[in-house]
Amino acid sequence: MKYLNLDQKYDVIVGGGGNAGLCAAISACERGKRVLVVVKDKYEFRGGHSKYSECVLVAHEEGWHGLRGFSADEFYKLIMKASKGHADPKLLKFYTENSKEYVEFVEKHGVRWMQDAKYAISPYLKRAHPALDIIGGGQALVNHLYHWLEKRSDRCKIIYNSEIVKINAEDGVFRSLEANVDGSKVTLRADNLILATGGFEGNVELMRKIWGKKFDYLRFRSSTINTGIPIFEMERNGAAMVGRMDEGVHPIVDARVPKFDGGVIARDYSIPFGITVNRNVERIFDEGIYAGGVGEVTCTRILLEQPDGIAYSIFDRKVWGMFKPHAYPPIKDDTLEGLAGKLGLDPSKLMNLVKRFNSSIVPGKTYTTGLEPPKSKNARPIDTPPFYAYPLAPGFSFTRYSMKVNEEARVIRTNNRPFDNVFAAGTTMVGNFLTEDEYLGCFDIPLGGFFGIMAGKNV
Amino acid sequence: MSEILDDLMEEGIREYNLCSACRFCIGYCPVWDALDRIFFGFKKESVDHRDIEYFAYLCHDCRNCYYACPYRQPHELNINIPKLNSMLREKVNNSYVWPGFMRGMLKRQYMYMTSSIMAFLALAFVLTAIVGDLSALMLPIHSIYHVMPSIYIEMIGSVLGVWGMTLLIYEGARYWKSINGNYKGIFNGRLHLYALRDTFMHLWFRANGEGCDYPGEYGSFSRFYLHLLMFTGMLVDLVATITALYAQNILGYYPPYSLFSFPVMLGIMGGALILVGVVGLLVLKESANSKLIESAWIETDRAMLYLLLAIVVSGFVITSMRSMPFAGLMFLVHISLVATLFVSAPYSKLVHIIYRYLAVVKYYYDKRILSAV
Repeated sequence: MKYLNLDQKYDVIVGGGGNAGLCAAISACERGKRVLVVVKDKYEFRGGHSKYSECVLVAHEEGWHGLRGFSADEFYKLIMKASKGHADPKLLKFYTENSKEYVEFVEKHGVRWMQDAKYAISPYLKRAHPALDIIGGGQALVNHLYHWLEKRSDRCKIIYNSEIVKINAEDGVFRSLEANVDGSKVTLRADNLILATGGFEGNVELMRKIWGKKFDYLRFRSSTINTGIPIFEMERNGAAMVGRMDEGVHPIVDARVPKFDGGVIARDYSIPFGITVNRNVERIFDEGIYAGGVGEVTCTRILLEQPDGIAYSIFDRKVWGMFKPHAYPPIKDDTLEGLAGKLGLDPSKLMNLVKRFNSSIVPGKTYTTGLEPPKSKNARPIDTPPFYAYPLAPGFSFTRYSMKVNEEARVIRTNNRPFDNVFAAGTTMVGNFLTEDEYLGCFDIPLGGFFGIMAGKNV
Repeated sequence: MSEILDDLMEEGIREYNLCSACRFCIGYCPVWDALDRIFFGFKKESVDHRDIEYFAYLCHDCRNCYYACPYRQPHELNINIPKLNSMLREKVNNSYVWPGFMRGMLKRQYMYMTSSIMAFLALAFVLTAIVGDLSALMLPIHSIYHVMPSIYIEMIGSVLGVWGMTLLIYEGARYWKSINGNYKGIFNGRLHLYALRDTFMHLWFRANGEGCDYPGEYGSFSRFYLHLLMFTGMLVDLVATITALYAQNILGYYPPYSLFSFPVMLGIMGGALILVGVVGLLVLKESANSKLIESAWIETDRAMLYLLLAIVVSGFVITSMRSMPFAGLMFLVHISLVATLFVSAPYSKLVHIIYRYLAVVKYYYDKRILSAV
């Protein structure tokens, strides 16, 4: 740390080295501010949870990057519906109308989209909403942003391996913060603080307390780095909070992924194409609703209630190649009995279940009748060997317990007045839009980044 | 290629299967597109050894996928596709070398090239003594053909060139058989047109406009330009040689040609391009991240660059010291170096030309099969 004078007073301290924090830092740096970015991870792991993101969904006109039109109004309605009306209408309107700014911002700093790739573009890339896919994914996105900042290291510095442990504010004004920088305790001062430190999904102790025995069933897509201390510190300093503590169960993942930091490869896409059964060979939910958005959360919650939190997605040869495979090979057999044997399930029960499932599909249609739970979409008989199974476990993405903010990304206090100089961006404020187990793919990254840009503008 | 079915192959299957569950790298290069096709197009359950071998050379070593990967070291899933591919390339090179006992040469390039240069030099001396004039080696000469009559140079050069080319093509055919399972598609002219276009334009050295993460962590076009310069230089020199042959054998103009004649001008231009390209690539190699490449391969790369450098420099020396003493000797050195380039083609870095080219043909072949289905 010898190159860095930490006693120096900065204009802005940005907590967090993911997409939102970097957007905030760049946005402030571009306006001539002196910025210090405090990143908890080591250099090798930088990028927070953003590195697992794959796409960005913003409002845009028809034909933009070759996508179909997606108006601000359509976007607004989509979020309102997904949030069951919880989203802050004024904030949401502001965001949906200006969301494109995020894409233009990151493009300026080198991020490129698969939709623009003239060459070697997969024809199999399809998505429910007209979102842009980042070439190289979230890690490439943050690398581009880091690169921009590194070129301006005279004014805008990044310190890794540095954790914010205490935030001192009085009467709505941030004064200083205490941090562990490379293992030594330091006090950092700045005129402004932007918090983009993510949720607390990596806080093992707290997660154990919240989820009890079910903690053992969960597979965390993130690393254990995000402990949420800055959020709780701000709560202690009088920030108004939104959302619940026990959110973030989503999506369903392969049971064989690492307990932590499984990231994007963990996710299952096979569920809508087969049936999902628990240890007792019972179907546990309507597989048809597991296809992005809120349905995923509902299904993951149901899986979390099953014995040992384990289930199996069972499908046959004819649907293979219709969805992204898992990182680990499927369990496979030429007969259903054989497959049941390999999974440790009761073979006759599985045979009966599949038989009943196949016969309840309405002829010529792709939904079932007289089956509980039904399969409302994509129901096809399971009859073409070989048969496959993926072991499934409930995944955990990120928490949404957030600080309340206004359009300037300023944190609101419990007395409804904003802090003078504290801003939030990214997962620290996403609860203003989606809370209570609501989820929408490709939404968080542009949202977090956009409010980062706003924060950087308004410091 | 049964001998590759080992730990490395298994590791390749593990890594590519993991990649197929992510696919964020689609757009950087055709490997990811091809990987997508394995599952969605051909509906295979897993990548297999054919795909792995095919990807190894479809990869142009731009390394963007490494830096974009959240699973790279020190993550426990430990993905390092550039390194994997370079290790596989080494295996591929070894597997298709013909004759088999030449296998070790890929790892002993300096030894092989030096002995080859020495052997050709000795042969050249003997030949000069028999058919030419040994004293011309030391004295100022009017034409290089005083040292050795052109017919010998042309004949030996053609034989060695054809021999090197034939072996390269033979090795390529074995590679194609292995990645494709049969010889189908190899004679489809349209596929070759696509592949030639990509090769001439260096389309896949650009990581879709971001530039390759080579030699450093962030996108750069330096290798694209340098490799393109070297490649263009070689083509220009090829044209220069053909022009000279034409002038001599068809039009009957014998050398020496003036400095401003077509063959000499082209030769100098090509040489300059190669010189810039080779030196630049050697410099880039110094600062490249060596964790991302099989270490044995770095020296194989370097040996070829040094050989090209020696050829170009000796060529320039002859051009600049025409009609001075020892030009004849320098000429023998130069042709020995060129002869070494020809005979080492199937046992050196140059094999990448045929393998990578065929991998690109295979890419279009698969694309075509699927669109026809």
